Amino acid sequence: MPATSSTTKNCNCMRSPSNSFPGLRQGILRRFLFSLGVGRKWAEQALQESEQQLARVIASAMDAIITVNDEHRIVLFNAAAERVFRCPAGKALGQPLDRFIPPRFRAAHGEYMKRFAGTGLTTRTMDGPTPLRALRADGEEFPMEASISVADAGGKKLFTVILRDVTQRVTQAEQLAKQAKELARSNHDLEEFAYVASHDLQEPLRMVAAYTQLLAERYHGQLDPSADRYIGYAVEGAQRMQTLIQDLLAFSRAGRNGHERKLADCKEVIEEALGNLRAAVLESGAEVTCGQLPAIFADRSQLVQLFQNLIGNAIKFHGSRPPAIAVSSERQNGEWKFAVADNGIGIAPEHKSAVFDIFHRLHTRTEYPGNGVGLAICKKIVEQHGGRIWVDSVPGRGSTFQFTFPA
Amino acid sequence: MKKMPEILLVDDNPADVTLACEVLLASTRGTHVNTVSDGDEAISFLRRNGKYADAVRPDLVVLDLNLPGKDGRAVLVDVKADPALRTIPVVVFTTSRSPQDIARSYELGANCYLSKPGNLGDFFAAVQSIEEFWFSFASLPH
Repeated sequence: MPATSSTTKNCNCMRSPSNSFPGLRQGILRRFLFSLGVGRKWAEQALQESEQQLARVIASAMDAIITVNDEHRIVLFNAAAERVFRCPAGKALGQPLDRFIPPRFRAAHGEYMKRFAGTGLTTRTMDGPTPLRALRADGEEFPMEASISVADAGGKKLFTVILRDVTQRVTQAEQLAKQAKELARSNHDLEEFAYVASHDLQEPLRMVAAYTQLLAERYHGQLDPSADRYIGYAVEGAQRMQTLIQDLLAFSRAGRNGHERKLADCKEVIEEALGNLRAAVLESGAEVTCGQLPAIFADRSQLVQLFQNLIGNAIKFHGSRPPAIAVSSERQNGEWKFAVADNGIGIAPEHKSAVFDIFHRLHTRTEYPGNGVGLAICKKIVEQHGGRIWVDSVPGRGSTFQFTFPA
Repeated sequence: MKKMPEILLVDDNPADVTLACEVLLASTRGTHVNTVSDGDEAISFLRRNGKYADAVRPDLVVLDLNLPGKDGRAVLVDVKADPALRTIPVVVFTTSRSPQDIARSYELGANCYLSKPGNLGDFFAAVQSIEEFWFSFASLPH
């Protein structure tokens, strides 16, 4: 029988199986009464299941959920709240919410709740200039983040606070801040050291270098034979120390974000580098070719230094043939990959990573000049910009230095 | 009769003074050098105060910036502020290469700025070029 009355609308999925004609009216009445009772039971069951599900959701939530009535007394205190506040629900229910607010904030909080209730808003994240703090049952204060919402329950208001203990996050932030401060102090010390090295160390060194040279010139051949040799070693040592200090300074300066990063045209950068290498280029008869080169975001002076060191090396470490150097670039996986390829003496595989170490040299000073800082500087510059640098090489045939720059 | 060129060298580093004098005194012009080692002495010399009453007015001042007490920058300020002294060319010859020092020196009225080279040969060449430029090429006021 099709359901027509409103009371049976709730359970129109249920159809009475009885079909006897004489008792049709009685059947209808019985069905009506039956469907009412069954419907209520079904509704009750559905409600019970729904409440159980909701209770499980609230119980399993990771954040504390506290509901208070319009007298600000706790009517719901979930398992997470028990953990966070170290208080069993039994002891919390019926208590004023104030119990879990540090005394000095209670008045302000009360005001806040009143105002919130009056705003007509149903939800709000609670925040302020300083992190909010709550009070555990054992008296311990802790920083927290919370949101508050209001619901109407039969004319009365219910406020629900969902709250998270952020102690760990706050301590981690404080630790990071401390580390950052330490790092800044350490960097400052290093910069001061670099300045001392540049200024105060070079002065007495200049005296030693100048006067040993003077001795060498004025007294050459006038003292016994060994003297010329000894003075020669002193002169060399002093001069080497001068270039070492200058190189060390260049290395320390390469690390610092001295200048702002702007769009730099690599073609122009290489022209500038070649200008600085003009003497070496002419002397060696080097030929430098460039493929298509992009403009990239970088500290321009460091970029010049980078290309200058790589091209300079390619020129310096040439074999019997005049240096032929090719600079190219390609876009790969969201970054630019540059290559500086030469036809020089190459690098043995076992040295391929060590060449980038500071002061690491593969040859004697009589074979090739230099302190072994050039590639260390290149590595620092590339890594400062977020890239990587490496070398592929065939000893006797040449090397290709490659580095990446994020696009 | 043409007067011999007179230089006042202001430098507190005896080693640098020795080197500079090597070059300056070797000049065929018969250049004469007076040396003082701090800023106060430099001003006294130029103003012919006290023991410098008979001092000769120099044609050129070669001035180091880093001096004990009154430093070279203060000497530069005093010389260029004094109408009686400001026409004397002042060449700053100092170890500092910092752009700030260079800019500041020119701002204070230095006629020229040279950084002392670290290499002996270059040092000699620099001093020689100072002497040659100011006494062979440049014209000086009487």
